[in-house]
Amino acid sequence: MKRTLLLYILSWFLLCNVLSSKGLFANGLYTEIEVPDGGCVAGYVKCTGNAGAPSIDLYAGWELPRASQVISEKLTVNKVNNGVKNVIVSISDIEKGKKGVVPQIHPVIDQQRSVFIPRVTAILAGTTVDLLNGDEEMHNVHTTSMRNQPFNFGMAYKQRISKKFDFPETVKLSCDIHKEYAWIVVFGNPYFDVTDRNGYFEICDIPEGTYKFRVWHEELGKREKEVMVRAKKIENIEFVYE
Amino acid sequence: MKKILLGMAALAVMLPATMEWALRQSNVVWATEQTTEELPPPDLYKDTPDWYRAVYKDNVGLSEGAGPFSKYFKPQMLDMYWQPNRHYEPMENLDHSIFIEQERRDLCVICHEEATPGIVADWRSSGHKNPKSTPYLSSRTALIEKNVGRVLNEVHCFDCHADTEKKQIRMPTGEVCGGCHRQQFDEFLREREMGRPNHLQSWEANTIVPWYAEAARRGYLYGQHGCDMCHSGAEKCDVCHTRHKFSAVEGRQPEACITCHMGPDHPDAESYGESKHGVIYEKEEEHFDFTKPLVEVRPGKDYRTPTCQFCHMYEKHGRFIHNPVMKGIWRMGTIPPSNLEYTSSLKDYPYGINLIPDKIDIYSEENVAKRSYWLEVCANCHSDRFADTYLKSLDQFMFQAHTLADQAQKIVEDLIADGILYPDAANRDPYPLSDGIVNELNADFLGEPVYNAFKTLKGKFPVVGPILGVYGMFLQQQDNPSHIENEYNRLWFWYKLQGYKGTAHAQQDVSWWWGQAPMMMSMTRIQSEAARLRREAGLEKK
Amino acid sequence: MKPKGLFYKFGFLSAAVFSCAVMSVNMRPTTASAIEIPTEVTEEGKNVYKKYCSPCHGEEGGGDGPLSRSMIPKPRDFTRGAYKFRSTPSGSLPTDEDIFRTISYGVPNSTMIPWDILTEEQRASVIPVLKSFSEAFEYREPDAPVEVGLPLRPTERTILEGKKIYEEKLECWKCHGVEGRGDGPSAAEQEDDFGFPIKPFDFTTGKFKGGNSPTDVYLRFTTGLNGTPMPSFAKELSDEERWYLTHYVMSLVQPEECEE
Repeated sequence: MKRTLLLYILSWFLLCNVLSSKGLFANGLYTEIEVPDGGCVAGYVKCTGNAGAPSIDLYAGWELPRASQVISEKLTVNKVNNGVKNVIVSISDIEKGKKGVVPQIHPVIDQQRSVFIPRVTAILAGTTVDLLNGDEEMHNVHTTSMRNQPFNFGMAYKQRISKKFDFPETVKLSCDIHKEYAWIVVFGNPYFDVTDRNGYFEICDIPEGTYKFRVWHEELGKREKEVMVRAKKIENIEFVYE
Repeated sequence: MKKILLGMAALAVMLPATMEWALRQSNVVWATEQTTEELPPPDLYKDTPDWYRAVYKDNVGLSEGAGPFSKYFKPQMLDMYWQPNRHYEPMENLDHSIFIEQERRDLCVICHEEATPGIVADWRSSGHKNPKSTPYLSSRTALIEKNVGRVLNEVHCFDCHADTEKKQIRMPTGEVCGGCHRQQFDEFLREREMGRPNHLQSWEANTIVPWYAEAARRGYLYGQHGCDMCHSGAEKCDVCHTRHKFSAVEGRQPEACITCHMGPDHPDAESYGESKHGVIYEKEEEHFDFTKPLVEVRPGKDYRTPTCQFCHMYEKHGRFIHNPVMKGIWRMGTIPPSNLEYTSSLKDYPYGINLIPDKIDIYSEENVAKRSYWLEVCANCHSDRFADTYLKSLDQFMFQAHTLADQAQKIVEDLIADGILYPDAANRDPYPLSDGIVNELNADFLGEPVYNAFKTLKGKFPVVGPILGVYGMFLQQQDNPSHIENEYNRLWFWYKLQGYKGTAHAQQDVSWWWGQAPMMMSMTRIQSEAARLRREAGLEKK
Repeated sequence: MKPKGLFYKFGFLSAAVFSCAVMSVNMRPTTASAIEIPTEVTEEGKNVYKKYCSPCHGEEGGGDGPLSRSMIPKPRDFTRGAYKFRSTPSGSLPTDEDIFRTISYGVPNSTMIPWDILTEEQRASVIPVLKSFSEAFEYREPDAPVEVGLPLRPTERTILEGKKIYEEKLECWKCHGVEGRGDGPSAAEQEDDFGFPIKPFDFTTGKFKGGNSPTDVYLRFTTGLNGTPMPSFAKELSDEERWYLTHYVMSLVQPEECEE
């Protein structure tokens, strides 16, 4: 009961904000300002320990020949510097900052050999994502989400489905036929990045101040760190999963 | 003219006859108009005294137990299913009354097809779903239709499970089944005529013994789970005809009996199963035609060997009855025969206690008649002389076994008489539930001397021997019983009964190695234990 | 299977469906439009929900009532706002009428009985209660119901076309099996949004969960079943193709199995 009550309060709060801001950024806490001399934060997300071994998703290739079985990107750790791929870095408590630009060219999530490529996509609220099927067989795209309207469509070869995500939320996108999935993370502000295969990320044009930086990985979970950003300076930080 | 006269004369002659015929016509009672005698509703506790109904039949939910000592324990929750008449309480989670109020028969199956698909599938394949699917079933259904006065195209969940008076779900008991299957019910009810042990009174046997309530009181209620599961057979038919198929075919197969009839006290499954009868049944099971009612079974053609049901449900003169206890002579071997000279206190058995049946006279008129009915069964395959000799040797086996038990009891009783039993009755826990026995029972049940003994000594006395002494196998209290008493219990309650079953069901190994041999070994242990106790007592005196 | 056989089977089925429809005219609950569905949670709605729904669906609508423990499929968890049987597009919330319809007709092959045992007012009163369990109803509005095209008459050709879609274009057999028995190669590993295993529908039973009319079956392809792996094919199939597929899957019904 307590939980429901909390949800009520929370949702009421959010609803008010939606009404008041009338903007795309539904969490409303974010105000757009000019940031002429913002600072940058760049760095690596690393993982130490045994987690570095790539996990093989045995389900992914159930009807493919052995040679073409795909190694899942569930947890990809660079052998050279232990950098983790596909970690989402964001600032959790930023209240004002640069203007978010919704890309005119839609980000694409393709399905090839029954695997979603890319596995993790981070977008600004209001962005339209194009879902593709590059396999000569049937897939489906099935999202589970609460605020963004979920969907579940069958997709034949070369089909293209465009979907707009309006509310900040983490959306799981899956193909039930092949038990493969991907993540679409929607943000209410433009301060976010996804690490590359070296675990590198950078977020720029941040107004001066101290912020909480948050990283999230589907397997490794969340980490948070406070970082001071100075004007026109590049701050180097490192997140380490142990 | 002459012709007319002749005709009139003929008419005059025929007139009385015609009149009579016409009269008779008007007196004809058509079958449909026949008023059938109103039967009282089926009652499992017919002709039992009020106190008995009050502690066995009247529903008390889970607030108290059953039997004379019902106040001393609360039943296990499961007992509401084993013994619904007395203990059932409808579920609280989902109130089913709305379905019963609106009599929505269709909804039961729609939901339970998914919630409990197994039982719905059972029901679908049962005679209840299609009571007219075969000519035989139709004819039986027609009989029931006549009795209950309505057309039965389907016997539905609702018919058995809806208590339309209380607007509640009920768990059916034999009384519900008896509403339609009256003949089977009434025949089953006749078990009471034969006295315990029987199926009908098995719940009584479970809860009338003081050690059941005592064990519950001492925190062993759930330890008696095994007791409850067999001994709840009384009110329900599904112990043999399992839910929700209620198949007569299933009830005719030996496997229907073996969940209860096995183990150390009555190894029926083991003795029959490994006997030549059982082995042939097992090897040629597929040739047995269980679809036939027992009365139509052609020995050697439909059954090559007898089944439990074929022998035990045979009543007499080619008739079968819907209960298996009618021909029982030895009563599972628990009751001593009156045909022996006893040296121990067994000569006074049952000590004036009215709750226990009297000794059996194996050669009473009734039992001699029963023996002849057994021979009628055996004669389907065996010569009269062979069968008679076999059964006589069974009697002799039992006489010998009871004699051995008598000797063992004498040894224990002598120890008690000489004050050598250790620990003695004064220095150990009293007889189970002695306070309850004094409070709840009276001299009418126990007889004056036994009741007074309980009243004055408060259970601080040893009890050995058949029935009342067996408590040591069901409940252990501080130093009670002692080792030698329990060894004796084992001799008469396990080994003697095992030997009996082995011999009766023609299983030689059970007869010897589970019966006679351990009985003798047990006797040896009793003797040496007695010798030890006497020696120690002698040493103490010095 | 010969197409002709299919055709006859379908003929039988449609006759059966028709006669059932005629027989059940009296039992049919009146459409929701005839009664007023309250917009706010009422005391009556709460009571009805507590007495008749919460034993399975849970007091908080989480699909975790005391009876749900042993149930398969699990009762619907209302907190996600994912309703299977709708007239609205994939992912959309259902209309009030959709919810009313499901309550009134129940869901065949599940423990959800047709709750026509309750009065229409009682059934309607529960709807706001169900909606109150999910915050999705605060964020989103149900989309407009999809348009159902003009039904086609089943013929040999439409069934054959449907078979092609089933076997080649959409590869429905991967989950639903070649014979439509719900035993395709991917069938065993299917999960719903709540993480419970879910069985693809067995067409041979003939008890279509969202209703037995061709329009009902058509709607399932078009709208998908929210919260389950069953997608919408609104983007893949033209209106006509969806009718073909409808005719084909209805021809998979084994009459002897739906007689019961």
